[in-house]
Amino acid sequence: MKMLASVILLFMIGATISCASWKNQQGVANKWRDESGPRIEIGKTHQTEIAKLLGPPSQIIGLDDQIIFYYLLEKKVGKGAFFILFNWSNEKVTYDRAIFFFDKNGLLNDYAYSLEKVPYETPQ
Amino acid sequence: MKRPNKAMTLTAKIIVLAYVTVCPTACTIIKEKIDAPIDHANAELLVGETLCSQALNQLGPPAKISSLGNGLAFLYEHTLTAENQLGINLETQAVPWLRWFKLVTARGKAKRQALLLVFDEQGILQNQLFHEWDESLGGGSSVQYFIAVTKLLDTSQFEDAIGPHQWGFSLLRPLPQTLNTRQSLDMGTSGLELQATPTKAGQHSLEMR
Repeated sequence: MKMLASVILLFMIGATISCASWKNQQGVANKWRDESGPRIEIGKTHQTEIAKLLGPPSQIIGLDDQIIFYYLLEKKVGKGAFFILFNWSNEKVTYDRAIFFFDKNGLLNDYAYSLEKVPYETPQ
Repeated sequence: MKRPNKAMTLTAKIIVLAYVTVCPTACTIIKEKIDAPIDHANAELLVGETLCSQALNQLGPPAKISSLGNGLAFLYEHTLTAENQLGINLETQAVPWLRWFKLVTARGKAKRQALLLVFDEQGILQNQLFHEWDESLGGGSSVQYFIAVTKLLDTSQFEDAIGPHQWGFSLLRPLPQTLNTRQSLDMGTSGLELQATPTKAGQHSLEMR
C-alpha cells in the first residue's frame, strides 16, 4: 500500500513539472570569429575584402573622412522550469559585434570585436 | 481544560477559510539579461588622452555609434530585467470552475548601465559619462488559466538593438516616420538615444507617433 502511494505521489509530482528551453538568432553570420579565415591587417586590408569575407554589414556609417562597417549578430537563449506552485524562466540576449573603420581610400584604419561572443557555426 | 472563547473560534475559522479559499497557485520569476555588463571600472579611459582605438580594444564595439558634427559618439548599454509574479487561486464551493483560473499580479524592475563616449575629429576622447541605475518597469494584474505562464510586463523597449537590420522595413512605416528616416536616431548619422526612450519627445516627435 505504501509502495502504491509513493508511486502515485511521484507520478503527481512528475505530472506537474515541465521544463523548456528556447533559442533565437537574428542578424548577420559572425564570420569574423572564424579563425581559419584570412588575416585582417590594419593599413593593408581593403573594405572590398572585408565585404567579400563577411558579407554586407548590418550598418554603414559615413563620417567626414571615414567609413564604418558595423556587423551585428543577436542570439537569445532561454530556459525555464514550470511547476504548479512556482515558475521560473531566464533569458539571455547576447550581441556579437564587429566594427571596421576605413579611410577615404577604403583601407582599414582600425577594427574591434565585442568581448562577449557567440560561437561561430560553420554553414552545413 | 479551558474552552476557547467565541473570538478565538471566529479567528481560527477565518484563518482556515482564508487558507482553503485563497491558496497561492503560481509564483513566477522571469529574468532577462540583455547585452554584456559594462566593465567601466577596469577600463582606462582618460579624457584628452584615450584614443578611439584604445577604447575599442578595451570595451569592444559599442551598442550604438553615431557621427557628430565634429567627431563621433559611442553608446554602450546593459540591462537586466526581473519580473516577479504572485498568483492566487480562488477556490470556492459556490463557483467550482474558478479553480481553473488564477489571479496574477506582477511587479518588475530593471537594472541598467550606460556608458557614453564622445570623441573629437582626431579620435581623442573628449567626454565620458557612465551611469548605473534601477528603473521600475511598472506592474500589472490579470486573470489567467491556472497553468499559463506569461509575461505581464512589456520589456520589448529594451530589445530593439537589432534596428540596423530593419532598414528595408523602415520604408514601409507610416509616412511621417518614413519621411524622417534621414533624421532617425537609429541611422548613425543624427545622434544617439538610450533604449526605452519615450517617443513623444525630441526627434521622434517629428514622426507623430
